Amino acid sequence: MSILLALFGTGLLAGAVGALLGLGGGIFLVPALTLAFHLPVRIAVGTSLVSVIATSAGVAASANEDSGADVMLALRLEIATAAGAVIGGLVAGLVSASFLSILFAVVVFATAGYTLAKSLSRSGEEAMYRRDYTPRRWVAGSSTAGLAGMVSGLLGVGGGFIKVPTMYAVMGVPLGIATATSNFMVGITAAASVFVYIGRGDVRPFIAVPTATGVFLGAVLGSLVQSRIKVGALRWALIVLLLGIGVQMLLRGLQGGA
Amino acid sequence: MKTPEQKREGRQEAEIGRSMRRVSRGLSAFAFALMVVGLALALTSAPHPFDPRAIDLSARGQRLMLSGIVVLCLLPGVRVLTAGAHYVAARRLAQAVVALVVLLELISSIITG
Repeated sequence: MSILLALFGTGLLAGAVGALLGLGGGIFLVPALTLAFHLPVRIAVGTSLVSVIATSAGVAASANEDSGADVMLALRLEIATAAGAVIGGLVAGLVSASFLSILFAVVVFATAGYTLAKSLSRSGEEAMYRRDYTPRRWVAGSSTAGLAGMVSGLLGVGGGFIKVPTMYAVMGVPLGIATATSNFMVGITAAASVFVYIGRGDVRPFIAVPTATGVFLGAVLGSLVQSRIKVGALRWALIVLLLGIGVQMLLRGLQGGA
Repeated sequence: MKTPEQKREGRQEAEIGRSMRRVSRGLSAFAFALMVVGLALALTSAPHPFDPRAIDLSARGQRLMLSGIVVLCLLPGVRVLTAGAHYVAARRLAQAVVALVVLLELISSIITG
């Protein structure tokens, strides 16, 4: 029973911190499950994917107004992203756990860099959500979206740190719309690969249910608190935390941990 | 000034948004209910090793939890179908197919335990 409560608490924390930073909970959840609970990395990824879907479902159900997402852009990119996610899920079953840990460390470092860049960004609200744009360079955009999907399927993260800069810098989509579109896509991408994990037996109900419930509630709490507190200082602390997690995952991978 | 065509498109998008939220709320509540009931069932019961007729509620609870996870994982697909289908009939058909899958999954989990 205590392990279930610990999983629920970990999910709650990961969901809340993820929502405060504008990231999915997966980037904190997978390291927590592998480093603190000593779970195999594939089971941690399967659990994380279920949690990502739960969070996305909760956000979709509670949104009362237009989130700003470009749904048609999301659906077109999702063709490549979902295909990449399925491939990523299949590849995850073939590569070693150490390789997955090292790759996860690389993704954590990239996410820390992305969060840092986001906190330094000074775009005006109006420019971020302007609607007078036409997405361009579809081939480059779809290819990178496919890569983001593969990373999501391999590591159980949302992949927003790849999709948002691509939509913004390559396809010419305003930053606010790119972020909202990426958030709309996260659950769909995770759903494409999670069935590979379920089929392989890497989604364990006793682990996934308390964790996903915790992440879902944490994300709701985090998004409620986000508008009431200043996250500037917290963001810097969490960037340091991300770097620490990256180093731990890298060491685990180099030591050949499962 | 919006043209009648733009107004019609705006109304259609608002209807699609409402439809997506309704489906998301209903299905996620159903999925979480399955998972929580399954977890409670699995935690509060133990198989009876000396009674071959006893139903293993723990295994049934785990099956219910897995059904809840599957329903939850179907949800993003429903959202895509709802967002992509501009015709009300197509949306209704997509939702009916998913409802059927969910129902079959639930029945199978109750029967097979």
